[in-house]
Amino acid sequence: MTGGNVCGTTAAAAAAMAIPNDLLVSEVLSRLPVKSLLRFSSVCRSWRTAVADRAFARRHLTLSRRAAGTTPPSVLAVVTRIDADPDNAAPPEDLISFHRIHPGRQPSSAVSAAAADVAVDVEQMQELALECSNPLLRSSHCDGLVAVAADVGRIFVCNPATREFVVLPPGSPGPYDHRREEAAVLGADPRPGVHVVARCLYRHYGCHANEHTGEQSLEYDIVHEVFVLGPSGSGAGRPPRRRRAPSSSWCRRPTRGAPNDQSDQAQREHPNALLRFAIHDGVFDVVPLPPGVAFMAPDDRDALTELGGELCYMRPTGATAFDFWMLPADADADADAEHDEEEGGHGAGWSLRWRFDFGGGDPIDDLTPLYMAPDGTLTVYVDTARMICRLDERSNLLEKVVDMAAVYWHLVEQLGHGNYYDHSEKDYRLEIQNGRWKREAY
Amino acid sequence: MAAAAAEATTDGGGKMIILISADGKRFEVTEAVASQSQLISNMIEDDCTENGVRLPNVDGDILTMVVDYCNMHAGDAAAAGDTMKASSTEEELKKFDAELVQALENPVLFKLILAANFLNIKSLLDMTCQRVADMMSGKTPEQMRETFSIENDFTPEEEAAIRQENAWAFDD
Repeated sequence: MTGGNVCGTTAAAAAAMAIPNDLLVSEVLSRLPVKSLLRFSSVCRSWRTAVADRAFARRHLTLSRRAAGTTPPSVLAVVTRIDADPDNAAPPEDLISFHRIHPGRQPSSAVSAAAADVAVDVEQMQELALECSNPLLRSSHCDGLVAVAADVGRIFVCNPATREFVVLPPGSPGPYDHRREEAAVLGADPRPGVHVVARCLYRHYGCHANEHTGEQSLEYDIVHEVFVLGPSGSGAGRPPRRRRAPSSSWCRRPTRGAPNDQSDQAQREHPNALLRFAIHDGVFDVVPLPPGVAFMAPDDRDALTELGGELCYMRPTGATAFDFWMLPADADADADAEHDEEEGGHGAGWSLRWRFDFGGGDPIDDLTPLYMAPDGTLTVYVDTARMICRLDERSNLLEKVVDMAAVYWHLVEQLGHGNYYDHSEKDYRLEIQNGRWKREAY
Repeated sequence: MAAAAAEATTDGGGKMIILISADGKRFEVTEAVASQSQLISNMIEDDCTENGVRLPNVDGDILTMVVDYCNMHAGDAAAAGDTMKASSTEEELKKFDAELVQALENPVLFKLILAANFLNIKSLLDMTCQRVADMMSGKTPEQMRETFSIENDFTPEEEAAIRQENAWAFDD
């Protein structure tokens, strides 16, 4: 601030140029990162009230989403590890931490000789101690919230930007707890400020013999439990109230049959298709696979992701080559499904958006589509190379965005050596998320 | 003043509008440029710009910046027929915008925000408010009160409790 030397003048000038409080709140505060907002809650009563207001939270989210559309997204890395007491005095503790990686700001010399102190732009957001027996977590995110399925029946939702943390009430136990990883997906409900977590579990899982042919096939029931996080419940969707008791309401919606993981025999009987659960009306529908694509054929490296509201089906076509099919949200899935059943037609609405062969010697075991930019580029995480890359739609040019190996070593340095789960290949888990994190949306 | 002057038209045929600042400075701009202001756009529709548009709460120096901004961005708003103007590339616009707000002292920047809000020029309001937000983000609550002349109406106990609640946000 500059100001005159005479007090009276300064005060008068200040009064004359003061921005009215409502303009300051709606136009300026709403563009601040969450951390600044929490700090500025202590400026004065009206700011504290304003920041806690639901309408403000919605405006903040809207602006965050808009800003996220025009800037490269940052990446959220979710890291789990076991913090063991070297003297065995205390039981080992499972820890989960969230880190924000800014791709644009990473120095290009990240893999240089001075690798020990590479300046990777990694910001630790939150660290939590978790009680779970399974350090391999599933996480899912939406609008800056992250849902973590830690262990069977244990799902957490947290907001790393505000450090809010909510434990969902225990759902029903599945009969195959010990065999199946817990899976839960977070999504935005059309109602403003409401998010839901859909938990998926098997109610029945077993062999089924066909009465006529005697052929055996796999048959199972999948149950989805939907937890609603919203205005009447916890504070997860809004500026924080640390001591607010989480009281998410939840309900169960069972469904029968899910032909998405079938044996060869079953494939002959049923169309090869995906089962989609729509959050907004709680209805399941059948979505055909892209034309000419069979589930898990030739191998199991298929991946299904949602990118910017569109469904992305990644299919391996070679050791290092992949096809990326996109299904727009407005494609009429019901019509497709009927069409599919009646005429055996397959995969209307899908378009093959990217084809890419990464080449090189090593086969790529794990590839995760992360983000589809408005300019038509696709960002993916290549597990084998520990690299986040960007594919250009037109020329298929490849750009290396983030070297996750450098990020990993940075984290090891920060969090300490030797504390990880074990020393095998699975000694840590980096869950890369499609990030809309520019404004730390909540 | 001379009302007839306000009826001037350009060679291109676009109607010209006179904007008059609080201190009596006059700016002649095309309708296309002026109608980036929703306020003036409404006035044009209502046909009440003939005697010039008086803007009693916008100073001449601020209005100069606003007019420069609108001239530069007229291409965005599809200024038909003016191919030279429309050729300002996106990159040039970004550079222009950055330079416009970068150098401004707070009092001027705040006045520009008030003008953008009054004239209802959304893109200018977005840009100037983002600039203020960027400057604020790393500041302390004390600095905020000073910058915006805000009185601290918390008791010391209340303030300490709020700080305690979000202690981590006060790190670094």
